[in-house]
Amino acid sequence: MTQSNRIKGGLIDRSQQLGFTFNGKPMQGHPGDTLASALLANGQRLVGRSFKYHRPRGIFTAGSEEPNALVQLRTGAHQEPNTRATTSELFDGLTAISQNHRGPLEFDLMAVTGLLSPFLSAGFYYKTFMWPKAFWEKIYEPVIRMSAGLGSLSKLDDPDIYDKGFLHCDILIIGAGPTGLEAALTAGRSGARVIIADEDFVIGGRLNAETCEIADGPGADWARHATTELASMDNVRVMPRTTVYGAYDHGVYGALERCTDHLGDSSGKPRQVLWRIYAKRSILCAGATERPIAFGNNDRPGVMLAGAVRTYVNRFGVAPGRTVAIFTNNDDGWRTASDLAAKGVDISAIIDSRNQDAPTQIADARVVMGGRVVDTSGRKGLTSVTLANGEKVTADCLAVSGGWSPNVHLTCHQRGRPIWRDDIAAFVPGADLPDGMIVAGAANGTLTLAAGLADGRDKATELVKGLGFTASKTPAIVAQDEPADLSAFWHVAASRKPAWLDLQNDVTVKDIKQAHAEGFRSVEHLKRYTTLGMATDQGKTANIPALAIMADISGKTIPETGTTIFRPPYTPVPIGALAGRARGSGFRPVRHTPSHKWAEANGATFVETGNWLRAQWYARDGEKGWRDSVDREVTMTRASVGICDVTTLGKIDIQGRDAAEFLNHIYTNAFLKLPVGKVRYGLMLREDGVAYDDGTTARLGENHFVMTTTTANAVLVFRRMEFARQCLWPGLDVHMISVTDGWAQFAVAGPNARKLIQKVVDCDVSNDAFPFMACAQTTAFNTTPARLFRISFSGELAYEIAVPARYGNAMMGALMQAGKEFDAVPYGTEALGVMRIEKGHAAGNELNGQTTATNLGLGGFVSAKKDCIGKVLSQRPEMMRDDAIRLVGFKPVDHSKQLIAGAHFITRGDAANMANDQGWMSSVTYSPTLGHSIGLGFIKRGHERMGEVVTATSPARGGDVQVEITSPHFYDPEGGRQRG
Amino acid sequence: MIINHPLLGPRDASEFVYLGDASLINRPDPDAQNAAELFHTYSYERANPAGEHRELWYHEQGDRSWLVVTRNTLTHAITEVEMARDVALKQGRDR
Amino acid sequence: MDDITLQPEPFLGGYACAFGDTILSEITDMALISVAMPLNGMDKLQASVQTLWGVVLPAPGTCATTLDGKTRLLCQSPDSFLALLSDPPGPAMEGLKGAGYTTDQSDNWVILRLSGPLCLPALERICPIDLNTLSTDNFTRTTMEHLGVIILRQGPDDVMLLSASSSAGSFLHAVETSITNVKP
Repeated sequence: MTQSNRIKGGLIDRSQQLGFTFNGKPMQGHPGDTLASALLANGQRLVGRSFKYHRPRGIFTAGSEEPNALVQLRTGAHQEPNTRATTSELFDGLTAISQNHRGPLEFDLMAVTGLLSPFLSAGFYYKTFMWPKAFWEKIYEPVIRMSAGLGSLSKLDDPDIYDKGFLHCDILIIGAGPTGLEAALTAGRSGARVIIADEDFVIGGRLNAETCEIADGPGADWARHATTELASMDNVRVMPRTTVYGAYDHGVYGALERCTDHLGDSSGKPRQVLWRIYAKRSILCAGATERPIAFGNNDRPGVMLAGAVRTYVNRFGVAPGRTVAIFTNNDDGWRTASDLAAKGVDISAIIDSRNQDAPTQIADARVVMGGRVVDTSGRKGLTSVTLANGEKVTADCLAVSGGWSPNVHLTCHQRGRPIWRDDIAAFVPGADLPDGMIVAGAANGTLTLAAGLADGRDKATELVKGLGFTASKTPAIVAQDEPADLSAFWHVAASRKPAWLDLQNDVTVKDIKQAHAEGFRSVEHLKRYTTLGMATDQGKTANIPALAIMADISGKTIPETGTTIFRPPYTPVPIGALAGRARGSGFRPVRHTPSHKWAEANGATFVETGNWLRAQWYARDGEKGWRDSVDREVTMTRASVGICDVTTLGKIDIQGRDAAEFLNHIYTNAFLKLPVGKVRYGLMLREDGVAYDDGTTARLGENHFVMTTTTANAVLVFRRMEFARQCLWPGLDVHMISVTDGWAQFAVAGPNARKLIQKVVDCDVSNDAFPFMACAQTTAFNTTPARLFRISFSGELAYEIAVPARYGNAMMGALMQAGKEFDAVPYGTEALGVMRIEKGHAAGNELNGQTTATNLGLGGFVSAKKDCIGKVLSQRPEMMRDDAIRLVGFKPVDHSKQLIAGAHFITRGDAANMANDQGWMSSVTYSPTLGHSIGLGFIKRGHERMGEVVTATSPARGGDVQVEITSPHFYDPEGGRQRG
Repeated sequence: MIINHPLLGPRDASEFVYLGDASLINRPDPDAQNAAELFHTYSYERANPAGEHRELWYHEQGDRSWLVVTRNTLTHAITEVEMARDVALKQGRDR
Repeated sequence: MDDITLQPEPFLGGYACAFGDTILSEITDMALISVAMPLNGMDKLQASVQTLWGVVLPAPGTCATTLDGKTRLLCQSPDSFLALLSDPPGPAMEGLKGAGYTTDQSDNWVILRLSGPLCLPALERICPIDLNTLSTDNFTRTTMEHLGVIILRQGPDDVMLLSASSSAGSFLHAVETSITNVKP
């Protein structure tokens, strides 16, 4: 196809041809084109079908406000639905297809829905949801899903990468039209750090679309020179293709930069970058959006905003039609006529709704002042428009201008409300602006060129002075204000045919009337009832005319009617950009234990524990499943010796003259008198008396302790202790620092643990010299500094030995080598868990935020002699009652049965319901030591019910098991092994 | 949000962790006659004002200071930021 | 006792990589100690620091560097400091005994050095701090990709980045990805 509608001029590079396809049809364009301008150049007016009624639709605007021309761009995994053709830069090889039709675009089989339009009007979804229920799932939903909607997803992983970033500036300028550029020049020349961002790929805004002059030359040239000057300043960052989409608290802005969307291939670089911009001040120079007038059949391809027509003619060298008519309520529409005339495009009529003299003369154009367009004709594209007197005027393009609405969106993101200005019939920013923001130019209702430039310069001057810079003294530039008279006119009441407001969601004037008639009159109700402004364009061209019509119907003024709330984002932001790098394994950081490499090389299977990856078990040849490995690890540890990396436990180094007193506040039990060289178990409560965390704390010196916390609570406990230190007891001399990552710590457990440890350290580890709960600072393998603790989680004779983390991998290997003669076995978190249940130690399942020290059987650890966090409230009668749940052990009466964690206990024979509930099973495991399933759990008065048989019921997971209540200490209840 | 740290200057809120009402500094006297009642109030009863609120923030990814931030919960305007330790000492907390 | 000597392994295996003129490498020959100031112990600590390193205790958020450039003292909060040493930590910890509470932190941190023309553009992708306001020989602490990081500026295009050693791999990945993403 030739570029039949290409005319002279424009900011495109005609020396290069770019090939692209639309619905498979090959077409040509040039660098500098958008997909929309290239489609129009190729004579393609019909570009899609509407959302509900499948009406033929064409290109309506030339910018990001486009409601109609949404296409599916690219193919395969790169396919992107709902892309605005008006903002998509053309590149060689681009493929686009139209959306929302079955069968070819020209003969959409669903177009018949247009006949059903009486049933699809306002409130359709609500009414349909109501009746009859059975129809919804089987009939309505499938039909609606098939007919309504936008483009389709590829359903493949997004092959592109995305990034995020952080920028800082003194002044952020949002929008690089004449006002923004002049503001940026003023601020940049003063030395302030400036960022100027614009959603377009060519800087200059409307200057590129108009024929206005600045400094006696074309406005577009001035914009280019200004951009060059700005780019040469080190303190200025010019960001084209960047939409500032949201204004957040305290001068934080969100911006989306489209880095490679204009290229055929992103070459492994991020497609888009989501920036967080920290700005001391900002100037919103976002311009204004033209709005349409509602009249019968105003949605046909060829009906276009007047400013967009100028954009295509002036910027892209494309005539949107061969014979153009103009319908306007203001002077601006007349500029379209003069620009078209200058390019030799035929103008069939200028219809101006105002009852006054024509503001200017356009040669050969028919002028109808006080005119109305009531209807249009042309099945797949405009052929003529009908005037109020029934006369038909030939036109394949109708340029419509209902005036301009300032882009106030970002001024409202912090709940600011815009205010109405009658003289321009538009909302302008109110007084309640986001922190540090001011508004200039068209966005502030200053709609003409010279005034906008001056506004940009003045506001920037004011800001730079406020920030302590000296404003530059460059003389003001010469420009003219264009005529901008306007008389509000929203809707041709004489039209009998449907008149569209929201083109994307197919909302008509009739829907507004119906919403009003049915009582949905507040703007927020109107929006939700009719879906006005809820499409991807957020009603940028539709909302104000719709409000005006609602105001008219309800006999109120527009400001009384008000606007809905503007929320970020200004234009759509892809989920991929919001996710950035946080995909797949990049979702969050991974922490490795010091012996990770050794574990990897020795067959470990890993499990995520928070951010940590821990060895879960070490499979050996011939083992059929994880249970085989875990059972072996437990059995071999209990028979001889096992080694486990326990680095992930939180470790906190605590020093200070008052460190012991501080620990007394933190733990329920006493630490003041813990001797140097000893370790003590400690229990922490929340201030409400519920158990919080537990661990051991070793006293390394008079004023030096090292605490361990559970893996899960390491960060939380540290945070809480800092709170206690700084806010509750600020007079104590105590300091903390996390050493979790600094020490590689290994549990060495089993009857041969002492023999093994004696091969590692040079201190005497005999039971007399180094008894249970002893600790020492020593060396490992002669030279490496080490800490040795005689503590046991497994119930065995056990030690934990810590070396600096960088030695951890070598240490694991060395321990295994030293343990070879004892058949030492590495064990993972599963075996660790099995042994702790066999031993009856509470862990996360038991310290679940609901249980008290009494429930846990740890009431004796709450010292009566001192206060601690949680002490007072833990002593409330309800927290200590005798018949409360207690932690006990459970074993199946029939040893072949498996216990289920989460099962609830009921008296045998009782019904399984809440009224009979007596507690729950918190942890279960198969005990290779005992040869049957065992469990820990909480049951009322458990400690007084040893030997009783109850039913453990788990309706959700199947079946009842008869269980006998036992001591939680299944293994070595006297503790002879760990003390031996 | 940006919190203007008294020592380190403006910092993004993402470096901080929120706790809640600054009244948590006023831990009651555990030896008081009505200690249980005082602790009950301390632990469970908080004002939840729509407007100015003194609240605790922890600069976890910074200097690990606890701060008392006076923030308007409606506008997020922050009018004062103090080191919580100084506030606690001023209120007579010691050891 | 077994005749084994444990060998330390750098967290990133002594990583070093050039991206054009930009170099990213793991620093493996420095030590770190934290120094906490005892309550009301400013004078005593100041005296020890003066004797040991000949510097004045820096204010919170600032850094003092010894004349020979071998030691930097970073004031992290009103009563805690981090000393970055080119020598083993033993003598410094000994020298501060009685004046400050010291903890060897060398194994808690992985240290990366990033230098060259892509240094600032790469950090722009992960670092929320305005590096324009961070002068040479100063430091700050923030988060990058959810990881706590200390940034020490050594020159206009030269920073040292310290992050937790257990997540060293993720941190390296974050920095490498940033460089790759901004590399022309």
